[in-house]
Formats: sequence, C-alpha cells, structure tokens
Amino acid sequence: VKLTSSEGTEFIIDRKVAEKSVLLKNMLEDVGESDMAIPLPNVTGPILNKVIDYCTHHRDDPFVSQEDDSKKVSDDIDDWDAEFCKVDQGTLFELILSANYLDIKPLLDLTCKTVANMIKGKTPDEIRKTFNITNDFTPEEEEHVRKENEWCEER
Amino acid sequence: MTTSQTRSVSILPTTTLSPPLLVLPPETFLQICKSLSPADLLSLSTVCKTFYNDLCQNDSITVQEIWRKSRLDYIPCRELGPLEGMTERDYIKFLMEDKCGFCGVQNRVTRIYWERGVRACLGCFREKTIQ
Repeated sequence: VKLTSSEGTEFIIDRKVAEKSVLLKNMLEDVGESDMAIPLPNVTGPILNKVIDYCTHHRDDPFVSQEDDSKKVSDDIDDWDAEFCKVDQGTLFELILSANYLDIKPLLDLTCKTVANMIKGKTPDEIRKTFNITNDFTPEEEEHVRKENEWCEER
Repeated sequence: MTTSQTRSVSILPTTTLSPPLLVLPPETFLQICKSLSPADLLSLSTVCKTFYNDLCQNDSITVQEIWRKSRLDYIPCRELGPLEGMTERDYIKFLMEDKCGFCGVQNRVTRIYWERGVRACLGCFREKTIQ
C-alpha cells in the first residue's frame, strides 16, 4: 500500500500494517487492489513515519473495538510504547490528532494516556506551566474558582 | 485573550501558536480526561476557561459520565450516586473536601451526615440539628 504525507513524501507499507488504521482499512476495502497512493494531507512525513513504526510494531495485536473501553487506568503502558511516547509535546499532540484522524484506537489510547500521566498529581498552576496555558479567568471568576479550589491548595 | 485560546477544529495545530492541549478536538480532550482521578479532574477544570467550560457541562451526559467513572474508579466505596440537585463534580467535591457546610471552616474533622445531605463538623451539626 502506498501512502503520501502532506509534503508529498511517499511511504510504502504492508497492507496488514495499514489496516491498523480503520480509515485506511475502509478505504482499501472500498477501492480494492490499486497502485494509486493514498494521500494523507493531514499528516506530515515525520509523524506518518512514527505512526507506521507504531503500526508495524503492533501489527499482530488483536483488534480492539471502539466500545471496548473496559481496560481502565493508565499505568499499563509497556516499555516499547513508553519509549515510543518519549517525544516532544508538539509531536505527541500531532500523534494524537493523526491517530484520531486515521482512526487507530490503540495509538489514540496510548497517546491520550501519556498526556493524562503528564496531568496526574499536578496543581492547576503546574498544569498551566507544563502545557504553556494562560490563566484566562477574570479576577472575579478567579476568585470564584479559587474558592471552589481551596481544598486542593493544601494537598 | 479569549480568541487566542478557543478550540480550533483544524487537524494541524502546528500552524497556530496556541498550546496544543487547547486545540485538541473536545472529544479527544475528554478522552484524555477518562483516565484521570477526581482530584486531577478538579485541578484540570480550574486551569483555564476552556477546560472549565469543557468539564463543567452539567447537561452533557459524556461529561457527567467521565466524572462518574472517575469517582467509581478512585473512590470505589461510594457507589451511591450524587445527592439530589448535585452534579457529579459537586458530588466529588462534597466527598473529598474537608469543609464544614455550616461554618465553612476547613481542616476541622468533618463527616458526612447522609440523612441530611450535608458535610459538617460535629459542633455545627449538633447545634443545627438539635434546634
């Protein structure tokens, strides 16, 4: 299967790897055998490269259905996946968006969990610092929120 | 100020200068929230307006479900749902916050009087209910 990233870089991958993406799987089923490259204008080359790495590593994993949300809390990330997620924040968020767009549920779960782990145990201020977010509450709202939040300042 | 932080539906966040966590589509943001503890959710909801609005949609089933699931995962002994008139978020604060519902004093030993739906310190509770 041929894929083209947003800059026009071509990637050739196994059909089995491509089928980790529900979007691509459906496309391939609709189109059938074809030599045409599938354009992915929303995914850049470096990100697509990472996504392909992920799908190749997990090519033999059983398919997880959309509804199967049962496995819960986020500590269950294996070493390979943890290593895979050691990227800068920009890359991590692009991976989330690409996983969402390409509909690769396990990759979306993994990247979302990684972000959740970056939030865990932090105060609102620490969260702002970590993600470079401005506190945009007005002074009155701030006061209201501060009151609501008193409990967590003493944690 | 607000315009710089509104969510964009664009799939390419790199073209904007907004922090990436703010430009995620709401459903993806909520997906991240799914594995957070009640305390983390409360913190996150007071980080900025966008998160506050996302996590305090009292009429959204999805949002209420996130709080509910987090409560059941992390405070498992509390299977009973929120008291009447409380949202899931209010309820979590009610469960976690050590603050008397009458005198407002914190860090005093309080307990929840379920039959009255109030958390109070012993002094206040006696005074208010014996009357």
